[in-house]
Amino acid sequence: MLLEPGNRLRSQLFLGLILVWAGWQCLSAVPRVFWQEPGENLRALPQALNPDPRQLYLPLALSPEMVAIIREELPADGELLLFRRTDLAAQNIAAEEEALDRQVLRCSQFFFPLVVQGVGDTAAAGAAIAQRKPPLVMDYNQTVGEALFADYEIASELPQYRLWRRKSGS
Amino acid sequence: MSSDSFSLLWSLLAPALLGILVLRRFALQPRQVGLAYPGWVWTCGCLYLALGLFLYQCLGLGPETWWTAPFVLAIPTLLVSRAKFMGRIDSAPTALPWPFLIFVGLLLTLSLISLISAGSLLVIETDEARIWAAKAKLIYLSPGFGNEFASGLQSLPHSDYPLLNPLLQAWMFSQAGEVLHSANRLPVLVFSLALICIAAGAVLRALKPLYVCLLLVLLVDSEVFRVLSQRAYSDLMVATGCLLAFDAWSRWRKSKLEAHAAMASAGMALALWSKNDASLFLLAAILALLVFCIERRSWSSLPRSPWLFLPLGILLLQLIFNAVFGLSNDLLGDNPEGSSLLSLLFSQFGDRIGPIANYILDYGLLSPATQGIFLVFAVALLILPLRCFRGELYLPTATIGLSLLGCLLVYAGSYQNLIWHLDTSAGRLLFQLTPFAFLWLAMLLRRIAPALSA
Repeated sequence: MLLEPGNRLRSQLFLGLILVWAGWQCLSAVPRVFWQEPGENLRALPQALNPDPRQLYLPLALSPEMVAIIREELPADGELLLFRRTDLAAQNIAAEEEALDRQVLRCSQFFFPLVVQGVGDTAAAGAAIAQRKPPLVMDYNQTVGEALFADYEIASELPQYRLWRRKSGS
Repeated sequence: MSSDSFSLLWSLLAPALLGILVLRRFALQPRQVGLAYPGWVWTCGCLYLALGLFLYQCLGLGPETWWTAPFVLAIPTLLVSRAKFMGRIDSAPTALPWPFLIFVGLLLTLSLISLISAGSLLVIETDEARIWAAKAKLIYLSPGFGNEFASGLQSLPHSDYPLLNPLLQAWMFSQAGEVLHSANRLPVLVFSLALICIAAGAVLRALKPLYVCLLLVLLVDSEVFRVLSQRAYSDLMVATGCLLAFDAWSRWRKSKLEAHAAMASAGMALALWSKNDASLFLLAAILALLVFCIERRSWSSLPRSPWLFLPLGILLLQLIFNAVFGLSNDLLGDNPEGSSLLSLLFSQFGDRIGPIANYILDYGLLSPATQGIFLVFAVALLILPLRCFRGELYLPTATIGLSLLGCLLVYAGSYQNLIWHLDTSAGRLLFQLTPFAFLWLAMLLRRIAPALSA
């Protein structure tokens, strides 16, 4: 006797609906819960136990091509020199650009490894390049003049970012 | 064992051990609480530890001293007598069938694999990075809530959001001695395991193990649960807190044990300190209780425990913190429009109610986030209105109903683009109530079909 004695049609109707709902949901849930999701998670485990720190570049909203170049060409202990303008806050800039700049700021503010806070003026940028000779340099919105990049070539380009690669032999 | 592994193990063991001590203080034993015990332990331990860390921050004690917090916090739990919390066990513990235990163990194992595999993606995107982890990094890197912390807050989005999640992540940083990029999620993700344990224990009090398994599968299969068990948002903590609050509340109705009232308060406090949405649910529950007491002209159904002030204390703590640092909520006026929720609600309600109703019909009721549980809720209200509002079902039915109504009003009065706001938050918001609604369904089924109950 499933139903409480005295229960009428409405309880039976509700129970019937629950049966249909739970049965339908469970039939579709079981493959996901016990097969598909665990399979995907198990495949991700090796990477999870040894994650690639270079994923930390992603908040810069880089293109997949740029990420691929950085992953391939930047040494594990290397650093990406990033130049950005320091006077953006004082300018009347588009919201999207401001959001991008805030992302860049956050990267440096919260110490993502491998990303070095850029400098706002050409002289400081030139000094940083001369001193560090980084394999890759990222220039946000063409902050510094192209003359600084005599020893570099453009590896990849986005409207906001230019990725410069050091020429071989230089 | 490397120092990294040791610090990780210690970081997770410390809140668990504190939770065991807290429950022991309330004379709550595993055999009494049942399957929900590990969930109660984790919830209470994290809340207690975070309160301690908040105190350390207020006293200017930097993260290098935080390792002492579990030891300092353990002292009161060992000193205070637990005799006054002793009471009868509300039901004799019965041995659970081993297939059921294996099934719950399997679900926990799959969820454990899920949360470990989350480490393949670092915390770099979406709200988990921009809101929660960013605030945790700020707490860790600017010890003592000083000027540096205050200026850093200005660059964070939603800097008024509650501190529990960031404090738990900052705890992970402090024990590792550096900013982490994936392991900091772990204390938040462990709430997925806690939620399964609490749900299993709570639903088992209403239904036979077979039906508990069915509801657990539906809960674990929720699209939002799968996302939240891999990302350090706070919605899972709100869901866990609300479920614990209601589970302990329903136990208190039978046992009248102060320990159960305290656990209900701890659950609500956890939810409130996790995300502001929980204050809406608390308001709904208080309204429902007030209506009940006024209608009965009797206040005897309210517990008289000082622990009931814990959620209000947490709410006050966060309000004072926000006031000190000049933080305010975007929905309450701190937005580009400069308009508050209430003023926009009146001006926008007519325009927005249609699209919101459409959204509810298209997505809300059949949402993969909630497995259609709110469609079941609506159908039950239509078919069995009297049963839904009678006895022990009154409070959950009224709370869920008023909470859903409150969510609707928030969206109607939001300054954000409506569809964008719904698309980006409605699933997670509804999920916060989903485990609670599953427990409500179990109680309703026990009422209308006693043969389904244990």
